[in-house]
Amino acid sequence: MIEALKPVGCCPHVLLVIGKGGVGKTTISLYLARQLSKRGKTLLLSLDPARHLRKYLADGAPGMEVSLISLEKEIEEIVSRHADLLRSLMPSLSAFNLDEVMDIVRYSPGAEEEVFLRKLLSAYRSKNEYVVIDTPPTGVTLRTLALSKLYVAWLDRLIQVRERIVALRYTIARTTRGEATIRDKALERLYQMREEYSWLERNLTSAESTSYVLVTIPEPLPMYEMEESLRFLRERMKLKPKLVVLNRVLPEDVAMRLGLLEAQRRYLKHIEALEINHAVVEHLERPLEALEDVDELERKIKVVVK
Amino acid sequence: MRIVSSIARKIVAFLRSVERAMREESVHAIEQELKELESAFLLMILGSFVGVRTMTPLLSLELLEGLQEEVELLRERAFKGEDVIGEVASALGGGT
Ligand SMILES: Nc1ncnc2c1ncn2[C@@H]1O[C@H](COP(=O)(O)OP(=O)(O)O)[C@@H](O)[C@H]1O
Ligand SMILES: [Mg+2]
Repeated sequence: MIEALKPVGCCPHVLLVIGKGGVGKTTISLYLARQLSKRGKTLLLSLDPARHLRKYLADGAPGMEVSLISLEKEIEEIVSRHADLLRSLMPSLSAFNLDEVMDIVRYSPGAEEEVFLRKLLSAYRSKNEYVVIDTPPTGVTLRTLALSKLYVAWLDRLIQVRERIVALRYTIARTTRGEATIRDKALERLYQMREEYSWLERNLTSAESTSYVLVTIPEPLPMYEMEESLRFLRERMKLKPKLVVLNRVLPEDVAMRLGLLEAQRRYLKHIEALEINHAVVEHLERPLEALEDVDELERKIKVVVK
Repeated sequence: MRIVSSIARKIVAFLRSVERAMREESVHAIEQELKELESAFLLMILGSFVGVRTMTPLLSLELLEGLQEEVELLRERAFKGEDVIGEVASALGGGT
């Protein structure tokens, strides 16, 4: 499956595994991470709230690092880490109390996306050869991908205002005191943050740095969601996923017996027509339970490189 | 990431433009504008904590970590009885 991901630049190369809950995102992420860990230092980062990964990793996963993250817990962690900072603002936000402000941060729409964005940034900064990301629900993931651009736009606006402030302060100091220095920590911080988030944006849109892997199964809703992701990547990010995985494809005789053959063929054709590398993964008869089962998948995968 | 050198370059480029841009204005007008901009800048950053959605709260928090001095400024002015946020809100046409 990894052959289909070219170009895979170094370091790290980040794989974003995207798909509707239940389609096998976690399983495919783990499979990819297993394969990649044979080639280089690999981190599997799971933000999928359904914690199937634990089941597979009861006995650990040799040769790679695994990190299970709950976005909710991360938000809580960030909020409490900043409680003092927020408290110091309280005199100025006098109409509110600390708890209210903390709740606004905690429950603000978009908080999960914001945390995910920071996780992405640290993934690209990490000292790994590969980082496989088992993503949160598709909506969160797509909004997060759109967020880096927004961040840059917000920072640009702030920078404009800040530059003017610094210029005015400078002018006042020169006219009233005849001398002035122009160091401004805030402006430096803003430039730095803009640099960071545009660097992230460049990484997210570079095929060398990032592989988008869309996972689906031959059923209407997961297929629809895959299409949505595809459209988003094409239109908003101007990029094409490296790989579409059609998971849980039934052997033809079984599909026939269940009356699913026609639908399954139609979905297969549809994926063929996308002109994107894809992998067809057979539906295993018994549920996957251990790491060995995931490795087993290797013999059940057919990869088509376009 | 070669952030540091690129930031240095940006600051230098920006400084060069400063003097040119500023020459003709009177000090009083400049002071007035400065005060308004300082409030606006803080509102842009703090707005998300009080429901004026100018950006997202986590970005605000991340910015604030680097803007302690700015926060101090705001605190001093609030301490002196200035309603910094209200000032800006009325400047934006909200009226307080
Ligand atoms: N090819 C497959 N054949 C049979 N069962 C599968 C296959 N892929 C995944 N599963 C099973 O489907 C369930 C959901 O998979 P999971 O990877 O946890 O999905 P997601 O992370 O997308 O919610 C799990 O019980 C998993 O073992
Ligand atoms: Mg999962």
